[in-house]
Amino acid sequence: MDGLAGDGFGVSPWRVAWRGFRASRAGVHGLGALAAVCCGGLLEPVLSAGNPTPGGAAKAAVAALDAVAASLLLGGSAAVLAAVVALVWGGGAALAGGRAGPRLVTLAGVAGALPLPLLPLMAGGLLDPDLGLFAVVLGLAAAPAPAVAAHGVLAALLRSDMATAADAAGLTRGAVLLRRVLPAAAVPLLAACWSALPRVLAMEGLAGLVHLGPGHGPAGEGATWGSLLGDAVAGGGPADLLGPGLLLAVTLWALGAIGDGLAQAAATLIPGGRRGAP
Amino acid sequence: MLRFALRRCAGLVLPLLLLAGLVLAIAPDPADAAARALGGLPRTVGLVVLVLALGYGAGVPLGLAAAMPAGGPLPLRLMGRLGHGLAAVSGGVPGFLAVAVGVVLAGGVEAAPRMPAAALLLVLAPLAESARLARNALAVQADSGFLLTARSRGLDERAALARYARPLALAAVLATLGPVGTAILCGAVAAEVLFGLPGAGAVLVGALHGGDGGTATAALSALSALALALHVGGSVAAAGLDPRRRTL
Repeated sequence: MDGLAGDGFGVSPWRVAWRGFRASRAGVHGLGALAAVCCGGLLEPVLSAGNPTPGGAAKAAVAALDAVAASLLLGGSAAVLAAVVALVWGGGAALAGGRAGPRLVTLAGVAGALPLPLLPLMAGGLLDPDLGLFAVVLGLAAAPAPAVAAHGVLAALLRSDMATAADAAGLTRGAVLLRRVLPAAAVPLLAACWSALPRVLAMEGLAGLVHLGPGHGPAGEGATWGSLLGDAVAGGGPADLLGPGLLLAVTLWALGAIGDGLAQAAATLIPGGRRGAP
Repeated sequence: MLRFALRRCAGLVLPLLLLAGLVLAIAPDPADAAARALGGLPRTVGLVVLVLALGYGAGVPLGLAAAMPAGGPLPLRLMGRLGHGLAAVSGGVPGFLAVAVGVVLAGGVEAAPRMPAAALLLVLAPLAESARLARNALAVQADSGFLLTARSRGLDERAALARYARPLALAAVLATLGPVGTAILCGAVAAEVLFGLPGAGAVLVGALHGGDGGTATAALSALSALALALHVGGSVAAAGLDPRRRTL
């Protein structure tokens, strides 16, 4: 049994992965914390309607909850772009093989070694981008590290006994990839690409803090956590910082914990996969 | 080992040349832009190295203690609990956020001593991250066959981990100096801006606010060179502890 198509007894890989994820206490707690942040964002209209002219800390908290949707949408769209780029880059390197494959991975490694979180700052200062362009820059800046991880996953699966057996049975390269490798690789690839989400949220926070990110429009229009942080540091007090700071910190922690849970789930699917600490 | 280090350093030449070429292509006055960026670099290097040393110096022993088997003397048990606690909050407090909270709580930049305050705030993130990395690295090594062999020859679990697994776990942690250093570098940019420290990060953000693309590119190139140097330093240090890494 090579363990790549579930547990080898007719159980789907997704079910096996979910079992592995649930075994990670931090991952489950992270999922709960993220759900709480999202619920807070959904409840914001109710909270602000009940108290139309809040002041001080309540006003800052409502503003931070109001920014949940904008921050998560911006982060989510940038992370999806980063995942697509990472899959094309890493997958291309794994499939190319020969000399081109290692070179593509080396390029991703060198790019990942650069301080790419400063790239959105450059875009914010020099291009004055709208939200869409900013999301593209965030996505591109977050892509190299998941690309290296995605290459590792796909290269390992392409060398696995399962792929070799399918190859020996006469399946074409495309059929091996589509019917065998990709279904088994879905959860490990999700784990590899998940790190892009906290990465883009942190980048947006940094850019907003130094007033080079989006959301600094009139009357807080389209405000994100980063822009609220920047405004709080520039002229507000601790109460103004508490809402966006706390929500960003909880979200980043939750996303990291979910990433650990996904890595543990992926380890249950890959033969010889090693689990880290709980 | 020397050959490995030289090969790694040689790998820096092409990216550094490309960064220099970028500055020459974009900056209207490359010499002035480079002088301004490089003028602030020593302060940024000092801040990043200080934070890395403090964070790894305290976080790695705590993380290693957290991965040790239960029992042992009280100080080690306390260190283990602290390591577990730090590892649990890892990722939730990025450097820039800690700096922002510190500045606001201190009632503004002027109220806090600048360089020590910036370093103390920035150290929280690498402290927690290095504790998590060390704990996980030792936990992974604990499954290794050579530990089973060591225990079968009469060594107790704690001694076997300390003698055989700890160097390899340390190597795995040192290999992350690059990514963690890059994260500290980005926090240092925020710290320099908020505390008014005249480093390369402050030059970068100041140039961006002023629309000076040439100086901003030069500052970004200087910071990129520092990040690449941290990556090479991390991989060479890791290879020093774990010879298997010299083939990578």
